[in-house]
Amino acid sequence: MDSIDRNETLLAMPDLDVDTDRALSRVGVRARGVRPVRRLVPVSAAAPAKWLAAAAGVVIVALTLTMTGVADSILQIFETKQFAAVTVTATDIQTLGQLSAFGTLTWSSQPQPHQTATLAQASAETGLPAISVTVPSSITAPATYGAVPKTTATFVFDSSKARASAAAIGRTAPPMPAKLDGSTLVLTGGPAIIITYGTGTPGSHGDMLFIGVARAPSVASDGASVADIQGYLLSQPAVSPALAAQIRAIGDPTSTLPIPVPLGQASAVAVSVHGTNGLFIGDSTGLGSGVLWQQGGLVYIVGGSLTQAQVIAVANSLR
Amino acid sequence: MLEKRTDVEADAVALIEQPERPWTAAAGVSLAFETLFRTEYARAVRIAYRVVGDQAEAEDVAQEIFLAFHRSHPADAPYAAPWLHRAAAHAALNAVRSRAHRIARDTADAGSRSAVADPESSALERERAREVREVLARMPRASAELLALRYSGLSYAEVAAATKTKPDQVGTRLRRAHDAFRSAHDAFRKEASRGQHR
Repeated sequence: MDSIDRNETLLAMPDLDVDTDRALSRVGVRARGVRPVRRLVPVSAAAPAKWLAAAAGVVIVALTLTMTGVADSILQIFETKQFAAVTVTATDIQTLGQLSAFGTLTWSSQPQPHQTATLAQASAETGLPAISVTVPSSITAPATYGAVPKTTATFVFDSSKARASAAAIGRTAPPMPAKLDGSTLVLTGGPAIIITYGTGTPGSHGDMLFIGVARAPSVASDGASVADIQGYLLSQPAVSPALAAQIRAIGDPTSTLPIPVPLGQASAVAVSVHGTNGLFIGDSTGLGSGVLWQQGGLVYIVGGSLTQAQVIAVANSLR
Repeated sequence: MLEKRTDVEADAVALIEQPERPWTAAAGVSLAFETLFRTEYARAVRIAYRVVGDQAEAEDVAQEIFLAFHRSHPADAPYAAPWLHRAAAHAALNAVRSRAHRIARDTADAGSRSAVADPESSALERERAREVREVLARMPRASAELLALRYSGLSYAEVAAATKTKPDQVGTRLRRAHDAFRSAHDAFRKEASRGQHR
């Protein structure tokens, strides 16, 4: 057998049964969310982009876990008004990371953070107020400013994807309720302004401080009921009973965003910021901490390599 | 300057305000795109399959390239088919090259899967697919793309259009690609043989 014959034997194409109709439905659903969009200003720093994408993922997962109040309603908005700490184990974190396996997440507009020359420019781009802040003397680096435009994503539940993902790790997925299969969530976040001081990297001077203000994230649904979504996700064998109980115990799930707090690595306490309820999270090493609160339809976050008292003081100095 | 998002938001609202509207492709794409999809999707899957050796993965690759095309090109563009063919081969090669470091694990997985459920012929086909995938991943990219395009069933004229070469040069280029495949395959076999005797 000469080499071409041998190659042809290896490269011969087996019969494939391609279901074009099904594929067309699938791509049609995804294509709705990817209308051609113009690129924004190139992102100068890859790390913040990755961080924001990861953070957005966590927020979406958290919203998906707790989104409620949409039963019997075509369009209902979840709006973040407060935060609740939810203690998660390493296994829980792994599970949260796998939640995208229950469907398809499509960004209509990916988070596109970019630096701006001034705070005024960030404010003009986002329509958010230009905040002023008093920082501790240990912050020696100059401020840098960034803007993140409004971001929209759709999540479509897909039972075949759930089954395939479970099978890939040797598990059997609980059946997805028919009402949930194919249903759509529209998730909206931002716009946001980011102010950073310093990098917090070894060798850099001074402490690091991060301030973010964003329009409160919201969710709309095409009608899948709360019971369907919550019941299905929390019944996954990989979701621990402890985590499920914490999620179910959240008092007002239509407006409470759960914040995952890794067990043993961080702790959370309720605090008062600007006279409203905030959630303070500190890591166990004392190297960093942050506080989140919501006021006037905006979500605020202040964090950095600072103590709890310093972080709260910075938060309260925001105007 | 920020782009206006109103069209995206309007879509999102329309999408959730019309739950009775069927979620078919017709609701999400133009007729021209649907026609293009129906004509070229299976071919794109076959091109990708010739590289990755797994139908589900090949369909994922094909979906991504159609979405990429939808984002940036008019569906009735005259270059649509050759663009999609080349992109399918290119994206599939990217997929196998990016996972080259996981080959050992893939081999183990393939072995365990074939032992559980599938008949012998499927196991042989999988082994053949794995061998082709690894050899293509080692070859010069242009030659690997050429073989993927040709052995998925494309004509010389279609291969020429996808690779932007003259049709009368395709035969010569294919022969060179075969030589490169044979060399990479021989090297692969030698390595596999050494691995077995270790």
